[in-house]
Amino acid sequence: MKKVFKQIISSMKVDDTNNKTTPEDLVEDHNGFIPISASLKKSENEFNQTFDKNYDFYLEKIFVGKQQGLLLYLTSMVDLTTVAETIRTALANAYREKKDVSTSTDFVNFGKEYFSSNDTVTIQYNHEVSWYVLSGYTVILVDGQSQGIAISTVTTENRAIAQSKTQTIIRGPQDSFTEAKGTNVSLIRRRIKNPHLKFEQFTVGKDTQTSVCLAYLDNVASEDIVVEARKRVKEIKSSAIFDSGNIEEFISDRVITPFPMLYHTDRPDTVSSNIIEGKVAIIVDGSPYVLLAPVVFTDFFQVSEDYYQGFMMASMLRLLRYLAFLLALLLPSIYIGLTTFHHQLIPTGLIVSIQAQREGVPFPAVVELLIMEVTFEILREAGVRMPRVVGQTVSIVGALVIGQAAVEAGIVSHFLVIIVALTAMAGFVSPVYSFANATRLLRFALIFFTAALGLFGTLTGFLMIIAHLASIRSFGVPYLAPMGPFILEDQKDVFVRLPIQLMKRRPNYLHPKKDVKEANKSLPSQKKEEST
Amino acid sequence: MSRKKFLVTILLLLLGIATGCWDRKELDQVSLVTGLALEISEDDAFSLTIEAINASELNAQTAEGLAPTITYELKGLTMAELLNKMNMGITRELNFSHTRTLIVDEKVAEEGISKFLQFLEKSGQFRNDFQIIVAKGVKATDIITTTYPIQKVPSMKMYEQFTTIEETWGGYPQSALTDFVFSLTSEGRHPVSAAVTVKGKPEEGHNVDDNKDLDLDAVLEYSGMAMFHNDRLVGFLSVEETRNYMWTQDINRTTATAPCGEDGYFALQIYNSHTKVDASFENDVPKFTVRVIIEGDIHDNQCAHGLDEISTYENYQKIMEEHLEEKLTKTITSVQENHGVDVFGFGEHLSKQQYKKFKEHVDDWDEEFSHAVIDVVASVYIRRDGMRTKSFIDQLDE
Repeated sequence: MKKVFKQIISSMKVDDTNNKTTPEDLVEDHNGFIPISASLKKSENEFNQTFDKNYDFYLEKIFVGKQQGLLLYLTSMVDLTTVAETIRTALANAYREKKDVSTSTDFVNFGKEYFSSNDTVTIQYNHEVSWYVLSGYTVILVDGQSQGIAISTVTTENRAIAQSKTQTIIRGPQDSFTEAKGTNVSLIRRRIKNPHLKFEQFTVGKDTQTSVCLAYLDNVASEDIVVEARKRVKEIKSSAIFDSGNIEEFISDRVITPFPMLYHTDRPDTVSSNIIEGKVAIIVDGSPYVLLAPVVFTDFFQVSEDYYQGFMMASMLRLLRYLAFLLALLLPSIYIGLTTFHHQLIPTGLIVSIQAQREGVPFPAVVELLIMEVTFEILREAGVRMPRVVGQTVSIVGALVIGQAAVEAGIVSHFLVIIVALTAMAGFVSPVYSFANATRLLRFALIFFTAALGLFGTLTGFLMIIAHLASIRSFGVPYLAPMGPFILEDQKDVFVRLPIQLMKRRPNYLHPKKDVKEANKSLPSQKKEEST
Repeated sequence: MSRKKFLVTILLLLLGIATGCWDRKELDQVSLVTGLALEISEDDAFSLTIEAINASELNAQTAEGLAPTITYELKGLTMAELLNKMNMGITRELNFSHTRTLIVDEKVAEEGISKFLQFLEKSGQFRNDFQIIVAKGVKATDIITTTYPIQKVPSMKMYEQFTTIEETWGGYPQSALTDFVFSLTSEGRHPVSAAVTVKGKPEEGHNVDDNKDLDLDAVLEYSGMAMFHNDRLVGFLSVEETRNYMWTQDINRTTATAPCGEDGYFALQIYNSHTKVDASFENDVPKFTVRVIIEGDIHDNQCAHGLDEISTYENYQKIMEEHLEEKLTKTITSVQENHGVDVFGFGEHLSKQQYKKFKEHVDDWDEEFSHAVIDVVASVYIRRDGMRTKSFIDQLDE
């Protein structure tokens, strides 16, 4: 199967030997970089030609001190107030003071002196001019000099930081990431004030030139993982990246698996705590979802709120999440298996009750179940896709018409509605959407297995899932760690969460450089002993 | 993976689907059988009646007031054939996994029931915890056609009733298929089973409308136990005697009554009991000592003996010990003399304690049993006395 898949992939591949995705791609011919021309006239023609047929390209001849110069920017990308207040004021001052920028050093100093409050870059080549103009910088060129300065005037038109919509918690920070990378980085920086926190930047996407950030603690995160993540991000060959989901597919260890190979979240506190543990975060400009790598199976049952409330309640809720996962995965299969194969396993009172309800239902139990499951999936998809304005109709039609009417019409039994509803609710318990989707998919597979072979089929399917889970790795870390391989020390934060004082070490399976998180943490009772 | 392997995988997957789902049965394609009744019929044949559930009548929402069970009777020679032939009159395939009772008519039991049990034990369809019950004084079919307002299915009514009586009063002999077969094959023990009768007019109980009467015309009643010589019925014990029998078999919980004076009785609720049997041979006569050690609370005291006096407890313990010894001895002697079958399992005890001696008498064990010397020694410990120590009866006397 792998081979077939590989063949399909290779047939879809195009020759991309020269397909590098860096700012250098903007160079028309790959023969070499063309330096900025010292002649203003030449440069003017050059850039007018590059940004031909662009209504928002703005080019103006100005005076830089005593010298003649050019001002370039895209009106759609820059904040025009900043351009007017900072750049034009500075230029006017320089003109009044007859600033001399005829030499190279003078010009660089001019940039530093007059635009100190903005991000200023000295640039050498034509393609760099284009790149910075496209990125929302304002570029100043001066006659007789083969260099320019690019001043950041990027417009900050962004969605405000709002509450997390997909991973809500009751107690704990409520903010969430936005589409702007800068905001996201600042949300993490504000939480981890540590010079070891690194944000490595890469540019990915041939056409979109999307910036991607790797965030990690360089004195904690395992070198292997960081190197691997860096390598994978660099190797992405894509023309367009719009969301971290695109990146996720490129850097996953394995594509043919229903389970997510990376953790995605829009909660800055989750990302920060995982970085502290020794994971790598991948921030993609334009996406409010930050990826975390490596990821293990048990991560999908942990919520940041587990650490904000008492450990007993947190442990109970975590066990409940495991139970819900099993229910979402197995409940419909078990129902089918028991009611069509293994009547002897149901207590007499219950089997009589189910039988009474199934009297007159025209379909086999598995068809009945599939009708309801598919109906539910349609309703769910409709609920996600439909315009918010008509959203209320879905709930009315879904709950009333489909649910109740189907039972009253005798197409499905009451008991089955309970099964489907409980399964659906259990599916929503998982804190990560992509993981919940995996259970959705596998649930159907298990239903078919059971319909053919009874509970033997359920077990076979379940064992196949476990075998698959045991075979996959995320960034070199076994997916079932710390359960398989079993690591005793890491059990403190898997099925239950122990009191925070006992969690002194980082998870072993991440191979952190510093495995001790907090050496002198101790329980209140231990503290008393120490003081006496 | 090579193309060949890929094909094999696909074929194996298809094989799973192509199994034909041989044991797949929708719930609405089966009838759950809860009870079986065996009766004698002319010429070697016997008649088998099944009691199958009509599920919609047992659900409050779908009930229409029709019969909660369907009974159907067929005559034939083997159980296996009859059960598969039932569809002569029953629409759906029968499912026996929830069978609760096997009712045996007295006459069938007298002729021997092992030929019926053979099939039940062999077949994988039966759960082996159903109870074997002898219909005492009534036809076996009457038992599974007598309704009850709460558990409308007669077999389920009996099963639940037996579980309850075993927990509360304790005088119920477990007679599941496994117990029965175990006793049957054991050399030093004969099987027993529960006995059930219908109190009232059996014909009246056949109608669901009977459930509308506050005073039921017919009620299924537990009436002690039946004793077998191998697989043949030899006699019955009353409910009271059954409890005495159960004392010798480790009873869990019961309430015993004994006289406390000339004008009254006291009752002891027993919550802990242990029975030990010592077996030996004296002058070539088997001798058994049944030691019953019980703990209990005083739950009834009709006499004016204050329970704040330690002497009352000592006195009561003594009375109860004597009372138990007397009653148990009486029941055992009666079985020895009247039936001569060792349903108590004394032979088993002997075979464990004096194997060589037992081996000598294994062939005529019932004969040996009937003249065995059996002593009962009871030790009673009264632990508590309920909510009040001083009875108001005390004050009446003053």
